[in-house]
Amino acid sequence: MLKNYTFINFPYPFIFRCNHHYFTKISSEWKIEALDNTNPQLYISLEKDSFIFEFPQYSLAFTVNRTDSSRIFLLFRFLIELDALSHKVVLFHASAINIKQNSFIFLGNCGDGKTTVSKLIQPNKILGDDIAILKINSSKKPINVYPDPYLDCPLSGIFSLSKTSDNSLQKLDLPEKIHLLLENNLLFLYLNNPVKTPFITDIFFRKKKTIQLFKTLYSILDKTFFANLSFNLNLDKNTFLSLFNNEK
Amino acid sequence: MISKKIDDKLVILDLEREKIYFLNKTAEAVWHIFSTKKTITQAVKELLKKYKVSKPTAIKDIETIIDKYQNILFFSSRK
Repeated sequence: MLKNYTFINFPYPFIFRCNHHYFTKISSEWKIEALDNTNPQLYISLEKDSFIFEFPQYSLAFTVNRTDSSRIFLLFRFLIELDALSHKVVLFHASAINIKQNSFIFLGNCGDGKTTVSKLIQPNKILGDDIAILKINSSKKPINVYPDPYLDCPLSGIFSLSKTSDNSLQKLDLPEKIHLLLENNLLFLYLNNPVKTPFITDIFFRKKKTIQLFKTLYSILDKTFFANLSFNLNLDKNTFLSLFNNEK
Repeated sequence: MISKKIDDKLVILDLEREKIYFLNKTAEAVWHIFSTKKTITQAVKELLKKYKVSKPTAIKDIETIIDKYQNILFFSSRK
């Protein structure tokens, strides 16, 4: 269930040792341990028909029906994003590409064209097909796009997508920018939906983390060019770069 | 509530009401005034002192802003 996602090249010492093996081979219990060999940070155990997740660092524990695998993945990702936030790392439902010294991310729902745009532009490197990982640095440094820590990939632009008959860019206003970031951030959606995260009983914990998330998102809004990319199937790298250079 | 100035707008996050407010310069000025001055008369005086506007315009602006942002105007501003 984690096959489309990689957390190996994470931009900070990752507290989980997590890979496909834990989810496919071991049938009774997982202990996902801290990389520095301190106490385990997350326990996942298997009962008769459910998984039990325990996350001692945040005093969280919850049970998930064994057959509901997509929910398990989303909850696991929620916990990962919760932890990432304390390192000023945020994840978005987006594709991410690199062209020379510029990185661009395309946010949107399934079917909006995230993968199509990445392929049409033919970038130097595709950094992510479904998740873009952003590391917010100190105020003067640019935002980095991961998961490849060996590439210097400062973020140059964030785009929403719409399929039309021509290729053009339309700048977004502030409410549109915030809306775009929030609706593509699973952490925000889950923190503010107690039905999806009933195991968080502390309302102050939700508020504290939401405020922390907003402060991080404000840094992205401050530093980044935002636009909607209207595109057709004739879009290519040069067209995209000339649209970007004209508008930024 | 937390606030932050972005793109010439003051963005205010109100978690209690699950709303985000975007204040332009006039609304921001009124918001700051109401964080210390609590009556409309005091706010109008303060606005006239700080900005080159006529009294009727100041009253109209303040009434419009109170109507639109009444939920957040009576909290003190925090950066």
